[in-house]
Amino acid sequence: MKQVRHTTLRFKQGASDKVYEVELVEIAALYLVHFSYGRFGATLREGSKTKTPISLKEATAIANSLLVSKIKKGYCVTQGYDPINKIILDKTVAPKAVTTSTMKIQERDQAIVHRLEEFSQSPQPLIQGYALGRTIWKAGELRIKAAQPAIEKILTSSEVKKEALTYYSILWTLGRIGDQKTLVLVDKIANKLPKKTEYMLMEVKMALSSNPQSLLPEIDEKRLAQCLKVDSLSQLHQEERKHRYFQETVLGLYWASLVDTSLRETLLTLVKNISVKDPFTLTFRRVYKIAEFRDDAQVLALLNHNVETSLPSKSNAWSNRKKPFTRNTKAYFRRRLPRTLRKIGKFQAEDYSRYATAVLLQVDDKDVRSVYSKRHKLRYFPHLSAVNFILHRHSRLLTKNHLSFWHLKRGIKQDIAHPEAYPLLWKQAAPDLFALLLDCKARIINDFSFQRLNQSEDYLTTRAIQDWVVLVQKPYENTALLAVDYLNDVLTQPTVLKAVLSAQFKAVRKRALENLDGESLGTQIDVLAMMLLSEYSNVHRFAKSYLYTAQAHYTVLSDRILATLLTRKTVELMLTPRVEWVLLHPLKNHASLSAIAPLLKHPNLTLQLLGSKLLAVSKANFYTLEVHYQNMSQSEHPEIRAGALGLLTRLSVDEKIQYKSLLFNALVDEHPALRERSHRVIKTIKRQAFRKETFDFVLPTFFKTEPVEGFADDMLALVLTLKPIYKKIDINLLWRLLHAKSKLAEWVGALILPMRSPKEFSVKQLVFLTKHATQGVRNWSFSVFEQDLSLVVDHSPQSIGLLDNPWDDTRQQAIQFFQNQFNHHFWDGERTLAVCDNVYADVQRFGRDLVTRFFQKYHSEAYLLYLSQHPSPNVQQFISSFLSHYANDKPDLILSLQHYFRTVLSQVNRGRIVKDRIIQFLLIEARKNEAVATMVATLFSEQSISHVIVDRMQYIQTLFKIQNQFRHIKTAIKVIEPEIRGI
Amino acid sequence: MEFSRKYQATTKVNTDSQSTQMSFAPDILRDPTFFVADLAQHLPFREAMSALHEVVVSDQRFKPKDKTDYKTWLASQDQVFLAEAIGEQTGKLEALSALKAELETIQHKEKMTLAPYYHARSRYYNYLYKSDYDAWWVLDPVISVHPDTVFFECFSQDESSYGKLSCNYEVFKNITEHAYGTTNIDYSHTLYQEFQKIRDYKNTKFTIDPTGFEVSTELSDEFKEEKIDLPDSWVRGFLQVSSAMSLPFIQFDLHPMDVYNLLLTLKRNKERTSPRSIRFILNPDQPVKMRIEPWGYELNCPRSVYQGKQHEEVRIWGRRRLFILERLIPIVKRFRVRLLGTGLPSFWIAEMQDMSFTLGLSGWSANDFSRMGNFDLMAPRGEVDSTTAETVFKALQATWVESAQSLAKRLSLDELTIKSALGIYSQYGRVLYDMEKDLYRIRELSKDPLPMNKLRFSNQREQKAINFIKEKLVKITSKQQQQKQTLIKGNVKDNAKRYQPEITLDADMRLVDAHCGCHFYIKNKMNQGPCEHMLAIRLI
Repeated sequence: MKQVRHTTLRFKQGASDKVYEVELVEIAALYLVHFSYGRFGATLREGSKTKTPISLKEATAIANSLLVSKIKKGYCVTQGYDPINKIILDKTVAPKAVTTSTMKIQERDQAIVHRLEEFSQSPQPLIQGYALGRTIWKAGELRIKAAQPAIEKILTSSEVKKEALTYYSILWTLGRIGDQKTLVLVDKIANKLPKKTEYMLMEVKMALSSNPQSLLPEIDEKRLAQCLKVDSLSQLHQEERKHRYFQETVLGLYWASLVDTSLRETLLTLVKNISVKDPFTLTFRRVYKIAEFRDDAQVLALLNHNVETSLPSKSNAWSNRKKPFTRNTKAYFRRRLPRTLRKIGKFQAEDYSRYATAVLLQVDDKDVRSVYSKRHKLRYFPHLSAVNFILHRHSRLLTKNHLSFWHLKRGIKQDIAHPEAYPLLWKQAAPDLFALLLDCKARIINDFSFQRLNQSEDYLTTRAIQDWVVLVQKPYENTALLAVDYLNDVLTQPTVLKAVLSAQFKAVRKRALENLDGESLGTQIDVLAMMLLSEYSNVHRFAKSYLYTAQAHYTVLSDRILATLLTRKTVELMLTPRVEWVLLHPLKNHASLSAIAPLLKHPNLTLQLLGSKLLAVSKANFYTLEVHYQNMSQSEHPEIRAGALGLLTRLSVDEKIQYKSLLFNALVDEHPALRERSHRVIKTIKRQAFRKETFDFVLPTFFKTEPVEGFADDMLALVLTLKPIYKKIDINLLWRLLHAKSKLAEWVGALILPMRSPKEFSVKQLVFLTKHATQGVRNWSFSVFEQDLSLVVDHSPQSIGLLDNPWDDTRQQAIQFFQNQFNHHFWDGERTLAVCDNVYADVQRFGRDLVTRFFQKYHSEAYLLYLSQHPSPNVQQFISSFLSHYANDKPDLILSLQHYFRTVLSQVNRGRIVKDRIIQFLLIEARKNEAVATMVATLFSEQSISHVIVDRMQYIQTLFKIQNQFRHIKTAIKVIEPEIRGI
Repeated sequence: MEFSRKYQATTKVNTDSQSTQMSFAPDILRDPTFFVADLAQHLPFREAMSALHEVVVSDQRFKPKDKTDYKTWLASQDQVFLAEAIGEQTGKLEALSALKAELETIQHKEKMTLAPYYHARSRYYNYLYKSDYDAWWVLDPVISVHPDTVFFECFSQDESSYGKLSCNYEVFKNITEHAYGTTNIDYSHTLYQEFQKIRDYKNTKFTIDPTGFEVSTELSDEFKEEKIDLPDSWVRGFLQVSSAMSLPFIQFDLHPMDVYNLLLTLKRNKERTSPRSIRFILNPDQPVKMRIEPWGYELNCPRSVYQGKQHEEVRIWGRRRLFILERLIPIVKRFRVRLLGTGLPSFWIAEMQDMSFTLGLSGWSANDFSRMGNFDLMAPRGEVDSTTAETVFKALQATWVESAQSLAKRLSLDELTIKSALGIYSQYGRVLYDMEKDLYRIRELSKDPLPMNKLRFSNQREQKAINFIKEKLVKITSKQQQQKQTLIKGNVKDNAKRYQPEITLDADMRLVDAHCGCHFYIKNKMNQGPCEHMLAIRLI
């Protein structure tokens, strides 16, 4: 096998860079033709054009035909045989970037003209596969002036068969060529055009006429205003079906904007409102066609955006009539603009960037259908077909699916340097890129234009300061930093300085602050005011640190800040607490009343509040401020009314008392500010009678449910300031407060209580207070007993109740108290029993300790009798230990303990020890006394069916012994004599 | 169902070492009912009231163990366990133990830092628990003052137990004031604690305060008003007990020690499998036998002989509720047990001197009185016209308490008519059948009439099931015993279509599985409970 010839061809256009190789190989005097193709540098796909080896002649012909075919498509021979020039290139020739050559365009135009000539001479419907109408349309599309004579011939020729659509194509083409002389022709064909194309006739006439103004239809201003409101579109909806007012208005305005360019903005607003759906579809289509006719990129971009962001109409399965703007229509329109852009890029390169810019300016990051990729830190717009065509036509990162929705490719981390369509065209489009930078609303667009503009330094240096001032405030850091670079030399200009200081990025603002001389701020009050009002901390901090430089102008500065605040729309956002702080502290009492007054009248509550605070810190007396007081006290906002109340502190005590009812009502108001201000004023009136009156006024609220959160706290704060009258409060009222169901009343009582004498309460009441839910009350009442032990001793039946306390802490305190303070003189039998009777286990334990510590033999019987009634198992077990010592040989006592015995023995599965003790004790005692034996016999007989074997055994034993000892006592025991069995 | 109650202040108890004064605050929205007396039988009254308290707080519903803390700990330990499991090399284990030690130090520090917070939180919860303890049970007892007796009634939180303590006037002395009627009393935990302090050496004054009805001015903080939203099921349960009391029953007596032995067995053993029932085996003139399942222990009650005329075998469930009776054993003379049938309510009457305590238990503790299977208790019995029923009721109102025979004689009516008429009123919660004395008593459960339509059935399916049975549209086709389960098959004709439901009951008679071809079952399976067809074959 031998390679006879190898030719390499290469094609390079835009991002496309591909190669084609043709190889001629000899095998045993016969030849094969192989080829390979693919992207330059990548692995090429291979194939063969010959199934079997053929002769050299045949093989060469095939190889050459391949080469010619490729060269025709734009490939260049870089190595090997060039069949056009018939030369062999040994060295690799650098490929030329293929652009649409002028020559090629001319050839194409000539071909079209030639074809039109042919059409004018023969009645053929098709020439070289092209139809007449299509050819005419193409001539118009490319604005081929040379085609005009041929079209005229076609019009005059009787041989050429012309349909309505042919006339429409002629009309369109004549309009596009734009020769005013052809207006006569247009008039001639006017009657041959379908009625629905009248709007295009008008458009063409407007384009060709020397006096288009005379042709303009009238525009109804009212209707225009209605059309401009988005809300009113629904009203227009019904009308539009019958009268087409909307269409008339839009088209009328479109034509009028040709003559009067000032109407352009209004037109664009209106175009934004054009719905693509029924009944506005027709209007949409007509405006779209006119925009295409005029090459109006802005309008086309707006309409395309409407299409791409509207959902298609849903068709009803039961209705034959299809609604306009179906899914297919939408898909068609989504393809149409990219196609147009492709044609423009190809044939009208000079217009491409203008079109692309208009389309790209429609993109907005706020679009809900946009998608953010965290991995690539990229927000992209899958649904915007034209935008993606412009930005990502050659992208490796983004690709479109079969529905023309764009998505990120898997596994690709980075995109190529120029993924956009026609990158070369953008190189010459710096103004359009700059326009994008100025007006874009999406980061992807900003970054696109920023990257391409960054290399056009020459162009950027020519840009005006105003443009850079706009750019420095953009929400894109790269652009803002670029702008601040270009503004570096003019940073001292107040306008520029303000703009840079209000930039969104810290790094940008830092540049301005680095260049700013703080000492000079004292003379630049405007800048200082702006900086103090800045929402950015570094700017505000800088201004605050140099605030002293403006000491001489504090009033002017304060007034300027207030005036600026009044002009701002978003006061809440800006009026941060730090601005308020500056006004109320360093600039305190400097704002003039004339500057404060507008704040109080402003509809914004935040500003009113600021005004009210500024008045509160002003040194003016009440009578100077009385007008403001009157206005403020009438305000609907409680905070402002509270501010008015605050002004009352400037009055004398007597004067304040005159406003008593106002103060009292504010004191119980639901709004916290009113309560607080009223409290502040009342605190300054130090008169006993007034305090008492205040207390009486608020008293009923203590017993009610807290109306709002915080009310109770405020009332408690108030009661604290009324301390001097605590002693004068009726004791019954205090008791009622302490035991009210309302927590507030309880707390008020707890506040007052420590100021009262314990002597005002009985011991019973004091004991009761030690069980109060408020710890302070418990502590106070307990301390009364601690301080006066005689109270405990003299009223022991009640005071022992201190131990009967549900609160663990107080109960423990009480146990400790009784344990440490009282000795055996105090603890007699009755008191000890009272302690044991308690229900709390710890108190019971204390009681048992007392019994053992201070046991007196003569109390033993009482202990047994009384404690035996205790329901607690612990106490029951405790006294069982007394039985054998203190109840033995006391039949009466034993008989009276019957209930105790029965209770203990009936305990289910517990009290083993106590049960054993009792059974043993009763066994012994029963044998001593008949009455006891009878009682035991009855008791044990009942118990003897117990399933507890150990108990039952003891019961039976005892009963057996009783029965043996006291024959007449009946028990449950029946002695069965053992059966005598015979031997 | 919302009930309004208004008490003048709260129930107050004054105790010192010599005396106790109990002043119950009655519901002043109801007809004046009051009673003032001293206690004569202190200790039995204390014990009986304590048993009643046990009913009020009883809640035997299953409460799953809270394993949240354990699970959190386990989750935090997961990594440690895993590391231990795979950490074969010593080095790793050493590093792990060092890390563990460090972690422990950190955790200790964390604990110390947060300790004040946890402490404060726990104190706050304690405060809430104490200051609002009574909110734990809202079901205040009902007290009735009658010419011969004063009785207290209450219903447990789980709606499965009913308690009634009747005290003859001999329990009291020095009765100074009284007005017959029924009222709710303000009950609290403190009151229970005060009951525990009753001793016979202390004078105890017992007052259902009459002053509340005389106060004309209503000071806002003097009155305690409650709007109690009682569950329908609770009210339904209460009414069903009243109704169940008058149903035919099997009766026998138990010696207190028999109950003691029963409770002893239950206390000493813990059941881990079903059935958890007591099977009463009753043979005429033979001692009562109780078989305690699942262990099969048989308790013979030699001192309790069944007086009935035919052999009976009845099973009841929810036996741990009987611990309510524990405190009564020392003071009770005998327990009179009344069983309505297997899986049906049972009544345990503890007879004491001048007092009796009735404990009504539903078929299961989980299946409370108002649940499935008990609604037939609310079915009207006997045919009585409304005029006659009203006449009978008015006649009873005049005397407050009277037997059916006496009323029949007085009104010259058939005794059955009287019983049917009063049965209707007992279903309405207006009349109470006194089981112990075979008397009918006026007892208005609420001050307003109760909505019976709403109360009878807990859902429509129950009503439909009853209607199927009434119309004889239900037929049981087979009943198979499979190991410990019973498979019942049947057919129910509903809307001209024959459904063939199948139900499986376990040894505790609980519905464990069921199938039916109806839309309700196909749609919901058993998620919404059994369908009307399943209920019908279960009830028949």
